Amino acid sequence: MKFRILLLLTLLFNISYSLSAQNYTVSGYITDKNTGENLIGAVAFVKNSNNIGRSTNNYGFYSLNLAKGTYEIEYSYIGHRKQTVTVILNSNKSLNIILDETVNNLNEVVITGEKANENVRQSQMGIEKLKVETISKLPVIFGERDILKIMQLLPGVKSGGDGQSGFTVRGGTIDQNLILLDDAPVYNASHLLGFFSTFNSDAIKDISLYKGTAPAEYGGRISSVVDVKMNEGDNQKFDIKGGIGLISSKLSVEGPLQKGKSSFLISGRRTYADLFLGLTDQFKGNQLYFYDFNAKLNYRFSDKDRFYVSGYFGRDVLAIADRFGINWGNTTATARWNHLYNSKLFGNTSLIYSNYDYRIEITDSSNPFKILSRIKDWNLKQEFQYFPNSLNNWKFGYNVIYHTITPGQITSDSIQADTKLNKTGLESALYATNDWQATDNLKINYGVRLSSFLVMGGSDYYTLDANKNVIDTIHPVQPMHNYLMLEPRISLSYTLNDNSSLKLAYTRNTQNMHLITNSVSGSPTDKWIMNTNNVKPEIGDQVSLGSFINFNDNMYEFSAETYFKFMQNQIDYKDNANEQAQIIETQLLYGKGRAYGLELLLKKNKGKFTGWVGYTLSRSEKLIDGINKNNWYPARQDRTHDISIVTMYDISKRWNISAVWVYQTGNAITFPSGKYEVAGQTTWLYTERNGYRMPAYHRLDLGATYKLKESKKFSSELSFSVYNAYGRENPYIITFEQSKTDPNKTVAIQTSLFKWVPSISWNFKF
Amino acid sequence: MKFKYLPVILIFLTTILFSGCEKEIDINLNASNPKFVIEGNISNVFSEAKIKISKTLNFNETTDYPLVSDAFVTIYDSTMNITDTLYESIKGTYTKQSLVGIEGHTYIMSVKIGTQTFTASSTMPYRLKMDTIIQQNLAGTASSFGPPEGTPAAGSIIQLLPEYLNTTHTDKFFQFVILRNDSILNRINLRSDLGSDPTNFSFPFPLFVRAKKDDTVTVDLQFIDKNVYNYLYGLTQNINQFSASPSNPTSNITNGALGYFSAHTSQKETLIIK
Repeated sequence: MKFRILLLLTLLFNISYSLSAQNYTVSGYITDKNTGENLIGAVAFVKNSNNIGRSTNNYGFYSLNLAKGTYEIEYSYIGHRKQTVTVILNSNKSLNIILDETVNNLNEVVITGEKANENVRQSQMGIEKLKVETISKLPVIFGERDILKIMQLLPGVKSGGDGQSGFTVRGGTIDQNLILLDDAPVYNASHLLGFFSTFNSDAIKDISLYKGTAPAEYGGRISSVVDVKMNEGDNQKFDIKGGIGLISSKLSVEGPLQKGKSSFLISGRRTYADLFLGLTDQFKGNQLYFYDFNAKLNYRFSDKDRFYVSGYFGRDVLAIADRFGINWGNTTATARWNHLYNSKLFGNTSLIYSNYDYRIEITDSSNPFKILSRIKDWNLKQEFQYFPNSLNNWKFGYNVIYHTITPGQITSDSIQADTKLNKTGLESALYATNDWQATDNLKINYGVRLSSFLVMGGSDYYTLDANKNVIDTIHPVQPMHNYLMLEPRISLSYTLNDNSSLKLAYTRNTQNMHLITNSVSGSPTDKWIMNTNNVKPEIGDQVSLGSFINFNDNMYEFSAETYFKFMQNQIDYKDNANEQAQIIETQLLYGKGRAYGLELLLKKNKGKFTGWVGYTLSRSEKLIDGINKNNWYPARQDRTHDISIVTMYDISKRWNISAVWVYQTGNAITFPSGKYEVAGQTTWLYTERNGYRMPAYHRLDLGATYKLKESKKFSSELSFSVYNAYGRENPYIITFEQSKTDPNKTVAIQTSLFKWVPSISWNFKF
Repeated sequence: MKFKYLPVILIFLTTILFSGCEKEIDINLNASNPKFVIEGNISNVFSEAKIKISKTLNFNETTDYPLVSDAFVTIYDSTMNITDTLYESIKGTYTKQSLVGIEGHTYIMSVKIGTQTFTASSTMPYRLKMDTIIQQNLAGTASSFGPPEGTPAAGSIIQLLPEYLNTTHTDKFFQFVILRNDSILNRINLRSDLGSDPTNFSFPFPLFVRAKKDDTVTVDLQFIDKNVYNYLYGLTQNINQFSASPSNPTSNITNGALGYFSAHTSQKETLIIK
């Protein structure tokens, strides 16, 4: 199998190679003048040609292969002045470009990161890009402009709950999102029970979201990929920036190690709500806070070799005085080496470590003990990018991840850690993908990913009967299962004219890591499990069709996308499941899922008044034997309507205001349809799974930013915002109980969290 | 098991931090067709063979569950091949005082209501015998554990430590029913962790009761069969709304009735709080 694919790849490369025999290459890095940061997605466009252009890759590198001749190449990037360079191409040329920021960009705020009509022209669909600087005018939530929460305002992305950074994409579950921070998977992207995300916007450069349509270099989750890139650090001068808010504060330092050659970045945050808690007698000694750090170093050895090291460390702490404590967090580290083999071949090697764990400490018993649950990955990624000619852009490579899961290891003074509890798995993939300009109007991105998952063993595996009783326990001494999957992907874009296009895509994704959770948004103590003999890889097939139109000189962007997704080996709890069961597989059932929807987005990109309106109409359902009398039922995260309206207005050079309004149908949920008495107590009668809806959710957030001072040396601003400005009591949970006032009545009780939350923060930079 | 309450604690803490609020709301819950609820018990003790039949209500109706009269109720001992008929002693409750079960025997309950018949089968498990119960006074409230202190005042927590006699043959699933001054304190207190070698069994399973001096406390140790254990486990999940996938617990009764039929052992030990 593998051999045949390699053969096929070789054949394809040879074809593209023979087409480009007479050409020369112009290639290089595009960087920012002020900070020296590589610019991702900057565009090099050949002016006197028909649609020949290329955007820079994730490391700011571009390569254009053209026939011998003279060209005018225009280099552009959002918020930067365009630069046009005349190139006489009679040999391969290396051309590094430095773009300067536009001085006054007040009147041309652009909320997309790309070239004005990039959304129309690129072959990919179902992709959203956010640049940190472009979201700086949105209302803040709890004092932070949180990228994951802003992402939830885009069509197809649904919030996991009130104030939550957890999200679902196109009818998937939260664990079906692959969240990468500098290529390292982040297993729990939230802090403080979901109210903050792990991403400190001061340390983030760029974020791309693929709604299940990612090219073959990504894999491992069936719903989406969120690819977050950290800032590299200013290699020209030292910068300090930070913010002081009511709940949290943050500080970042970046600067050159050797000017123009190497740089560093360190960024940290901490919340301090617990310091106030400590002042009250009732909560004395209790703790609830988080902190996190981002750090990155990069070094340019030469024009051909660059080296990066980046890391993240975050921790949440929750403790009840002298009783028990729980703390959880992610650690990631990435070491990366970029190498330019020649002007057409770019290589990137990454060694990645990723760890998520939570620790519970019981301190009030006579024999205090700790419980550790952990998921740990070692990950090697090798990717080559090959630019044979101006019409093809190949990426190919492999990825090997060694996973170790530790489920609840107990230690104390008298109990030694039992490493036999660990389970291990080896996930590997081989891929190739090409972005091909087939004709002037037709762009095709096609690729294939061959992935495998080897169940290595470790602690016990179980054979279950039809009623989920354990009938046999297996102690594997050698790898017991290998799942091999082929994932074809294709995405076509047909340009009707300069301002409109039609796109069609088919993508298959598979998933070997699964989160067992009882909520839509997830909680820190949810269990990650790997494939076993019982749990099979999840498979998602998605077909999507979209239409993209820009008008008024790209001032407005409109897109409509529809998708249908079919999912296999989906997991859900059996009826009346016990989430605390020792062997969680005895509580799970497997079946099919389907999700479909329509996503509309209208954006205004330029002018004093900018923003967007998004609407999603969607459905997500499951069919699992043993649930809901074997009929289709709505998935927990199913919502019919999602509306978001985002507006930003620049009043003056100093003031800008913004407003966000969202409306969502409530999630599907199981409520009782009646009651009865058994064992002397009232209990609830259930008739179907997820047959009810939570009440609708809606909310208005308002924000204003006032620039106190703005200069090259020092700038600072005050941000004011109100979350849930009209005080809607949105339901968080609904429970059913006997009425406290009338024991003959039963009532539904709704708990809401945030009625209105004002916040103020001061951000500075010097 | 200890961390079952963790999400609740997390939610509680967040709620405090972020000024959450609770209110009663109107929710439009579907009306459902009334279903029969049958609660059947037979034990190895005199006058405990009892079957109660009632019906379900819609959520918004007043909690006054309709009782079902004129049912024809029998219990068949399939080991001895004897059928007993139970008669309605108070409305909706069918009893026969002299019907006493035997460990190891399988009983089949049959309930005829109009044209519908509901049956269920349950095997009475073998039991472990309690010897004595030891009283230990704990000071203060449930959450602060300290050394025993003097005589318990009203509302004190008392730890009861049952001691057992070794037996050669017992089953695994059991529950404690605790009565204080003849009123039931907790109805469902399930255990299934007897260990692999019940003959060498010494763990006391401490029980906690809130009581004062001179209160009469009765501990009823009941061995139940596995289906009933699973039913009751599901029932506690439902009552406490713990499960991620709430559903009616799987009943051992056929034909769509709710409830359960349990042939269980019973051993009551009484002590007066000192």
